[in-house]
Amino acid sequence: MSDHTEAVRARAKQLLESGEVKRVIGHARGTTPYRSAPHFATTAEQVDDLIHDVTCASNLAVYVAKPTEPVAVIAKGCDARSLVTIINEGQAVRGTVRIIGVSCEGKLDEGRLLRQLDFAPRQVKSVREEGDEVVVEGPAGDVRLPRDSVVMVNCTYCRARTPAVADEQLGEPVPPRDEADTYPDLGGLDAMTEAGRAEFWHAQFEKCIRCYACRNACPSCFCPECFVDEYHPQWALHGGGQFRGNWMWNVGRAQHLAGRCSACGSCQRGCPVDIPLMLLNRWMERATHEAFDHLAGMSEQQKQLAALFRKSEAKSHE
Amino acid sequence: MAEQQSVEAPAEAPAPASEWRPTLLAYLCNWCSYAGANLAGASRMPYDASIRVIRVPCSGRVDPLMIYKAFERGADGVLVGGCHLGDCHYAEGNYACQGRMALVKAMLAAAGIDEKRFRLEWISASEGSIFQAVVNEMSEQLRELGPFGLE
Amino acid sequence: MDRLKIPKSRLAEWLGRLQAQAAVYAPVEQVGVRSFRRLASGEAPGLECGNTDTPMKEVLFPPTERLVTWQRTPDGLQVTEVDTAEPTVIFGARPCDVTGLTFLDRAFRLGGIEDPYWVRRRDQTTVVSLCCPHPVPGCFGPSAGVNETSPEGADVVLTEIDEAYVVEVKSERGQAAIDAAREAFTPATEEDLAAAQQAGETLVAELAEQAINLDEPEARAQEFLQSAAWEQVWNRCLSCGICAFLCPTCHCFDICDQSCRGGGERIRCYDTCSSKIYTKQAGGHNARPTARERLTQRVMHKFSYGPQRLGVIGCVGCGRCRRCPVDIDLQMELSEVRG
Repeated sequence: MSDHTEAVRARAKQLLESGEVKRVIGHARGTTPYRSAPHFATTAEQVDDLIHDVTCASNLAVYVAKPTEPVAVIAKGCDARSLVTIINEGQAVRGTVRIIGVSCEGKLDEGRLLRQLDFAPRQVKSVREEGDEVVVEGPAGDVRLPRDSVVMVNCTYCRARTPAVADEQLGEPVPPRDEADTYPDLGGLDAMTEAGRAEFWHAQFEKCIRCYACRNACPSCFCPECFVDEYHPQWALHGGGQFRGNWMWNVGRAQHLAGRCSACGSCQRGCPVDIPLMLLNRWMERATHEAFDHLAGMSEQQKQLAALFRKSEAKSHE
Repeated sequence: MAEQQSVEAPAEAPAPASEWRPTLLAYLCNWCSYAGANLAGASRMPYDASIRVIRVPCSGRVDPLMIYKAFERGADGVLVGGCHLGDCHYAEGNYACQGRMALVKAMLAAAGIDEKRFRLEWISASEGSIFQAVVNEMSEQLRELGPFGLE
Repeated sequence: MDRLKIPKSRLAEWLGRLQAQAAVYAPVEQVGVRSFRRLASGEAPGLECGNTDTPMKEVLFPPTERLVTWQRTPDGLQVTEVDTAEPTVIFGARPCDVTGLTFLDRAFRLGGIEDPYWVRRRDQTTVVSLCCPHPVPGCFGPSAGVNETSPEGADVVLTEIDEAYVVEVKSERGQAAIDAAREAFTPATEEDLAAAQQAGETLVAELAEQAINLDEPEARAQEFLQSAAWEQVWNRCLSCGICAFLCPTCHCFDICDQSCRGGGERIRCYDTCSSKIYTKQAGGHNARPTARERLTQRVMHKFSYGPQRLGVIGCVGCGRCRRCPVDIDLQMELSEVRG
């Protein structure tokens, strides 16, 4: 159960009134009952629009960019992992970011939800979580769907359903999914031959339109100049419809995320042509976890992955 | 995590079996591998002309993007040569290289690129014969695998 | 002109004849994504209800286009202009996408300065539009001025009735397309026309339930940009390119060279005013440093400058921009700014 709306509003109000933070970053109801939109509260009125329910999918850490005034973030486990990662890498001073942890059992994947309804999306009146089900109120009453059938795929293997690092915690702790470390999501790729994998990614990357929604939705992508925008050298051909450039872009980004990805799924969720980006990110997570015992954002004390490549750390991966 | 792979060392470069010659792009660190390659050349040790060398100050300078870019631009194979662990001219560069290349290997596996197309080798300045053996073995393997093409 | 009719069973024949004289583009699904792609010989287009994920503009204004190539030769630098324009038929374009062509045509010929790459393709293109039997979720074409039963910019309009299409020919180019398979067409009967009429009325009535209000767009734009809602909207914008790349009227592009010592090519590719680096200049100054400035530009271009300079708003109600990962819906905001 992850509807923490009342608790979030109460806490946000306290934090703003006391002056502890100047801004609370959370979600508000979106343009439809099954959507939410990132929301920024600096006044009591804006706090009243905050919600936290099964629709609050996007990663809010993307809005924390060297804040000069204290902010609070309503952080699911993946948001919190991202915050720890980017604070570790110098994108924010820890003291300026108050992590309001919320427990989470998965957030909606709009496509998966709508495909299971036999009525038009605009006839959805409300969406709520009840136990292990998501209940959709439609024109003929409630439709009950198993939560696992409507949440983002990455939620089904979440290792951070309770944030590992937070200044406070809203909601009862929820244990991680076993699938976090068994990687059933990679079963398809594992079963393919090498040639099959090459073909798979060829088909997927050919679709890429180079909108960079994946990059811009990702808190770990914060470089002032992204490698893909460089001209000297020009790492990747610019523009969509050029497979070689698309391959360089997606492979290059996945490389840069290795050991830094919080598995929030915002990249795949944002992709307008449904490229299964999380497969690549999870493949790299597995490789990084197995080789270096490293997972992004699970502890404030963790070192950056690149720091583990040092002679002094070599024992851990030799 | 040791990267040194054992190689059988043919005495001479194999004669090309067909018209096509693979392109093997090698990033060689200035202090060890490049010097080792230089020694191979100066000693007139024949090694396959498939190799194209790019000299870098240290194997730790090799950015994973440089590996992927090589494949994207048409290389059939990529070799990274560095100093043996503990001998790096900059003390720790090759450790950084080793860690990064482990990730590159994982990525190449995900992308469906044969693992024989990418190698990380520690080759010292005195190991001209190792350089020769690695280049010749890799070139032979690339001939067997055929051209790599992203399209 | 009098309406005609063609049975669905003879569509393949018509397409085959068209393919003999032109490159035919139609909706095709590949790896889960619907786009306008060139039809292979004998390939059936995906004409079921619904729009393509990427817009039809891609056919005439591709995501990446070669402009010039060059090659170093012993005799000097050889430069080759690229012209891949050819007679083209766009088959099965929805009225929204077709209406977008008007905005693009005016933008690419503004002030008498013609974009040769657009014009070369556009002037050899016949547009066969297919009306929608039912609205897709998120569509609000009529609110954006789209004529859902006979869109401006179409050369031929098809309306689905039972096992056939009623055909309206709107131009000489359209007539030429019909003539390619004239025997497949018969005059539409009274019943046919009534059925087509009914289909149109049903569609329009259903669309009314999804309508928004974009009257007086320039005034609405001003009001929105001063509203409390605006603060939340620009603050959450991720500055990606989804809204621009999927929009049937957006047309910004970048030109860059891709080369190495032996030769290279100059290409143009999609660009977006939402990009953080869109207005970044040499020296580092950025005229639109935050999403506030960038989204302001987007709103104004589509709903103020666009109408002023081109005579039409930069929106056709297709709803594709609702794929925004952070649920920004500029059109809905403009509609609601007046309650």
